[in-house]
Amino acid sequence: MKWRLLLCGLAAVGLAVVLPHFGLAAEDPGAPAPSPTAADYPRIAGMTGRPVVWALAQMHLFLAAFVLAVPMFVVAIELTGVLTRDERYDRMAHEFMKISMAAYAFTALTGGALALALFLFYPVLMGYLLRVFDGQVLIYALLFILESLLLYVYFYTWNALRYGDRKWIHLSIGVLLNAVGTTLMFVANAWATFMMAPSGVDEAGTPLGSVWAAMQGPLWNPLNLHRFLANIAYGGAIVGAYAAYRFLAARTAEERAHYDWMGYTANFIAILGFLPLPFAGYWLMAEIYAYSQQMGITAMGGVLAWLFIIQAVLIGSILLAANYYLWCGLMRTEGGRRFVPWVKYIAAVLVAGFLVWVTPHTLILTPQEVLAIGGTNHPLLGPLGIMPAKNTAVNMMLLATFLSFQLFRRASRTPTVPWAWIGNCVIAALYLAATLNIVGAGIYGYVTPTVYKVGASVPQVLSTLAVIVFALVIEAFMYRGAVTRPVAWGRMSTRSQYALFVLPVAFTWLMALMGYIRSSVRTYWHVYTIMKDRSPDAYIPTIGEAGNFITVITLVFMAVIVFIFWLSQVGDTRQQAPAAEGGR
Amino acid sequence: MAARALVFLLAFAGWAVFFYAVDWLVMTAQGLPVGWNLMPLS
Amino acid sequence: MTFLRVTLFSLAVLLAYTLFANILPQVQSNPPAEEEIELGSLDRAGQIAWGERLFSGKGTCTLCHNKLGRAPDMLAMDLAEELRSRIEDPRYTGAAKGLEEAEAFEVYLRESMLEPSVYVVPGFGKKGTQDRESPMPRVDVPPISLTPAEIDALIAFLQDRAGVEITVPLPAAGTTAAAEAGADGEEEAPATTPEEVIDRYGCAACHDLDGSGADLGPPLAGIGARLDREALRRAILDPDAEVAPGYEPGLMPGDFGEQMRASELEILLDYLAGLDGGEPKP
Repeated sequence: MKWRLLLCGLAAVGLAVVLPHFGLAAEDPGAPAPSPTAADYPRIAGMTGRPVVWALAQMHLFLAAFVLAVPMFVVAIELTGVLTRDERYDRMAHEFMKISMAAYAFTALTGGALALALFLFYPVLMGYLLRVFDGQVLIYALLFILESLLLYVYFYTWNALRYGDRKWIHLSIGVLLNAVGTTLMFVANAWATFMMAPSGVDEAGTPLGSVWAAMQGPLWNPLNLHRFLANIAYGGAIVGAYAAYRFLAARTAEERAHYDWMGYTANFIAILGFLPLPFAGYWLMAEIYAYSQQMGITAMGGVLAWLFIIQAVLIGSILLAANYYLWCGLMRTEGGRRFVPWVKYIAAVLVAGFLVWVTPHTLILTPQEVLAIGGTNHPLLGPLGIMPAKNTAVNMMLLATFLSFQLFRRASRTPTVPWAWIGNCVIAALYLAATLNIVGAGIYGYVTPTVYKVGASVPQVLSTLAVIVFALVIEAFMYRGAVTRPVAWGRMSTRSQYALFVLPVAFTWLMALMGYIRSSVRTYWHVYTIMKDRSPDAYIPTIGEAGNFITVITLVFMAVIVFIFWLSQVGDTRQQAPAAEGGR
Repeated sequence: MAARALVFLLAFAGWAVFFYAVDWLVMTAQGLPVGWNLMPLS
Repeated sequence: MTFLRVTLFSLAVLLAYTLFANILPQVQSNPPAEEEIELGSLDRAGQIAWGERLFSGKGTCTLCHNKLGRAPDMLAMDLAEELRSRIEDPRYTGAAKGLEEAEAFEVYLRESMLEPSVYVVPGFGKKGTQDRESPMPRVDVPPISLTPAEIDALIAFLQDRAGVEITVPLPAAGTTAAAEAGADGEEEAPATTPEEVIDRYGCAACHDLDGSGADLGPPLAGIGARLDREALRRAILDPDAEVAPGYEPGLMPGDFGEQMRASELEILLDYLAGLDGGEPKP
């Protein structure tokens, strides 16, 4: 089943790479970018290109993000297993990998379908991109084949290369697999960022002859980092949902304990990838502004500005769900109960931050509403709508999340080092100083001109990162030789598991939403400033339209994921041999 | 208790200096001249 | 059973997000129309009005040149005074130095649009460049792509605002320009009567006008006797520059200059200037 799907995918990629070369042979490699007319966009079966390409691209990205992320943390968990000599880690890593294997074939399939759709619906654009990136597609295809090989070798040699030196060979294969996978993603990212902020071509789009220059656009590395982190968070979230489902369906206490622990680990990975994500996003946005103020304003202050309110709601629900799950986890240990009173304060910070974040700055209002509010900005809430307030809120929310996580870690361990109380004081002082700095920089942002406002958000970000880094370092020393209390894995409420379903649903939807924004900031250009989009789909759809479309894609993806989970489970079941005739 | 308060205050002062230094460095590195109190120099 | 419950829960979450996306204001952004219109017959006033439309429309100037402080707010400042002091600034080394005033303004404005980094207003440079590099994009290349005739029109508009003689040529016969459709797409046809303008921009919601009785802003009956046309224009384009005693600043939206078309603003000004305490003349 898997093999057949994979072969189909490979064949589709191959076709997509080879086919267009027949039509393009005549095109002069040194010519400027072509200017397509409305006639250059074929309709196939009554469909225009965009919905087809949008849906396929998003599906491919969901699956690719998942299958690229899983091997990353699987290798990390495998290594943890080797270092701690705890067999449970190895078993879990293997199980994660099994889920990802089933998804891989679908990734290849949607990738091939996407490539095919792109060439069918946007022949002129794809011809131009092929010309700019020259032979790179072939390298991409090679990398893809290498990735497939390594993935299968890594998975199927798991038990053969299990202990001793052989385990290290297995780990090396895993590292190599990740190196190839990450390169693969970076190459594909370069095509997307070239369309947003072209480089390596002149003003008319004539390639200057270096593929490397075309790849190194100003947005390439910010996007690489952003997608890398988001993939990890996303992969963790999906595996978490798998664990939660198995937990709910478990029949024995042992199974419950195993999947509870798996869900906890997956949630941890998701949060780990998620915490630095806003900062990567900030970098990406800053580079967009540096590249083109207009593009930045289109995203943050223009037609697309409302989307960031939706983003805030999604991120808010992700943070609330992840925190809720951690709070429920406090009940797993005796030591955790003493932290329960703290939860309400953390929750208060989260909710307050969330409310600030969803407060819009300016509203499109009817005259009656203007009259009722007394202006286009609310006199009291208006100031909460601007950037310093939002930055302050998001940093405080991240700090609160990190605190939840820290409390959870402390619940099962008691430090034995004599200076533990000093460590606690230093960490508490760190939180207080960072909070004051974040709030202070936020206030400072109000009283200063825009450049300072933007500038002041960097210290805020650094404060949050400083808390995370320093608190982790201090704790690492503080908890050396700590007394560990047993964790009652499996002692979790049913309700807590639903938090683990909110994460993948919100992540999936959010990813699609951000994809819509990333693609829309180009407005009516295929390749920004170089090649206009003259298709009937050159407009930016409304938020509602996009939201409905995104929901449909998410639903399809969820169906595919359920099927994948089922596939990975059905592999474990074995039908009983029918009893021999006249058996007894 | 007094020892705790003292350590906390010392640690807080230390972190405050640290964060101030970071703020100053970051703002200056961005080409935004700031005064001793971090207010923009007009 | 578990499967069903999990599925229903996930669907509910998904539905909540979708609903939220659908209750927000819906704006579709269409690409600008590419049809061309003939401009050869434009007179001076028409050229200035065209420049004003370009300023907030195709030129996208108001994206940054507004009161948010991203770039100097050119519509709010005393343009003549500001330009004079910039050209005299020893840091300025461009071609406008030493020319006669109106001409110097033309050269300076053109230069600032085509080579924005020749002179950077202190405090508005790209971060980290000590005001040596301007964040402003050149206006004659994509994505803005203004034609020479359009740049002339912008200069005419700005020279007019600065109150100096207009030195740019009128568009030559046969000049065409892309027909304007706002970047926000789905633009309504311009209002053609004062009632339509007042209705569209909701003036009567805050101002007492034709018996609307609203009192957030000053009543507009007899406004023509209190303010002249220019003062009215200022009061609409930059409402907080001068606030009538007894009224709150910050209430009136400051972006009517971007929202209104030049023709609508003129219609509204004609109407308001005519409200001299006697019977309103539509």
